[in-house]
Amino acid sequence: MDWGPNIVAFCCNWCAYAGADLAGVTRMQYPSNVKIVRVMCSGRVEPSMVLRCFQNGADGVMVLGCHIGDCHYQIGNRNAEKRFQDTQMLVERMGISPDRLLLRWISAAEGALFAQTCRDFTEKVRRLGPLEAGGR
Amino acid sequence: MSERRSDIRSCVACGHCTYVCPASHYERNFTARGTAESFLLHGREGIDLWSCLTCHACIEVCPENVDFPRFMKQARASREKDEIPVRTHAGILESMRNLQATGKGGPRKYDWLSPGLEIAQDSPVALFVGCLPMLDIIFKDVAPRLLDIPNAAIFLLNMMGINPRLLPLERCCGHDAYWLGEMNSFKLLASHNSKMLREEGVEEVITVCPECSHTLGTVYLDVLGEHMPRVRHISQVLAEGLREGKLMAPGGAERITYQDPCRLGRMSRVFDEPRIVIGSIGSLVDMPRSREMAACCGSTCFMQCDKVVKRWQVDRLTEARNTGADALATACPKCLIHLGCAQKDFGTHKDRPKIRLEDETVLLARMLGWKG
Repeated sequence: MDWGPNIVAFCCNWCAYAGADLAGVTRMQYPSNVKIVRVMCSGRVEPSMVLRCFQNGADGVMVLGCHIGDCHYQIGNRNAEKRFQDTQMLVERMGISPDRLLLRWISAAEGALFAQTCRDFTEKVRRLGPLEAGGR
Repeated sequence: MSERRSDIRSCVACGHCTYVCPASHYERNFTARGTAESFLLHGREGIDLWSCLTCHACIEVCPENVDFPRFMKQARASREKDEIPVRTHAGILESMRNLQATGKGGPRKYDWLSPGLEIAQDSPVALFVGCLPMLDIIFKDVAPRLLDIPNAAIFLLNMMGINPRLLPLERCCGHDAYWLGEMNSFKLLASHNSKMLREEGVEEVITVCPECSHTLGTVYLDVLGEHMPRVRHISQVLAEGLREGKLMAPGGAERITYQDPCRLGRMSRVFDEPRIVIGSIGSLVDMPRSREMAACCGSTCFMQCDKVVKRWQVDRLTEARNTGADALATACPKCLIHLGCAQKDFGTHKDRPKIRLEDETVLLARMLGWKG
């Protein structure tokens, strides 16, 4: 069997999770490699959560939130953006490729965009290969 | 230390250790003596595993030379799976360590190097940076500009005519894993680092963190039984440079007090070299508790941080301020982080022990014209 990456997607409760739901009810196809974790806001996703994913076998991590300006908590996704930049720099300094991380804004109406993002990111991580000893 | 250390069974219950132990002050229910007694009477059951900071102050006053931190480390190594310390910083330091222990990730990226510094990748002298580049991001709000330390160190080494090499394949030295008793992680990290240093043909390792220098220099030999290249902390190199005239002492009017890091002072017996460095940039004012009896900065391995620790740290900062010094210099980035955190926690309270915290390497480099 072909190797498939393990991907964790942190989805915010208000937009991206609803977007994923929409993708599901409209029966759009997207890879089963993506495991969704619902958080109340994308701003909740801190570097330690991403590192914990990598530690426990994830090969890629997505952070999906509301579009800028649409955040349920006004500025949560701006915080998410700052935290995401920190996380990217952190993993890069540890020798892990920053391409294994993705930040995307997906609204509740964009089920198709969610499915497309999952397909694209899974393909990208598949090309990078597994995150294992000596791998980037 | 040349003197032989003895086992916990030699404890004579004199209680000297209680006076110097940072964990025995205030309301915490922990003493080294009490722990020894409880261990001898009831075995490992019911011992408080995580209060000891392994700062080694107790050994200095112990008439029987009982190596209590070593006992604590062994007790932690034989713990049950569910006995874990209070995790601080959402467990990010633990994840970082375990990720590196399993070998995930390739060469490090050096996006923080200042331009103009000279690195020679064929040099026999290597600079071991440790986890500073990551800690710089995690602790940017309590200890800003941590990466000034390795940058300043390279600047000063260049001045002394040494162009060090960097080790992109280096991993965490394993200090925290060792003292938390996570021996599997530690052995993985230690064997990777020692193999890497051997393959790279490094003859001397210079570290900017006393935890790294103690772990690489002493603990690796102890655990792996392999001889490592010579390991020195940057303050030892700088003191040698000042003594031999390779570095000019800039002199200055500032009054600076010095926090002895436990890993450098009590554990590696390096007391004078950092003082020579500080003496060259200003006048040194020692705190009442200094050298062998220096008070700990309050936290080890980023565990068990709470209000008791904070009170201890605020006491230490007050002691530093009462010397009348302009700045508190230290040689350990962890001291900077922990004391900086205590100062920040005190916020804008009128009694906050406000004193400038500095790293001595950075201070010296600034005085010698480094603009970072």
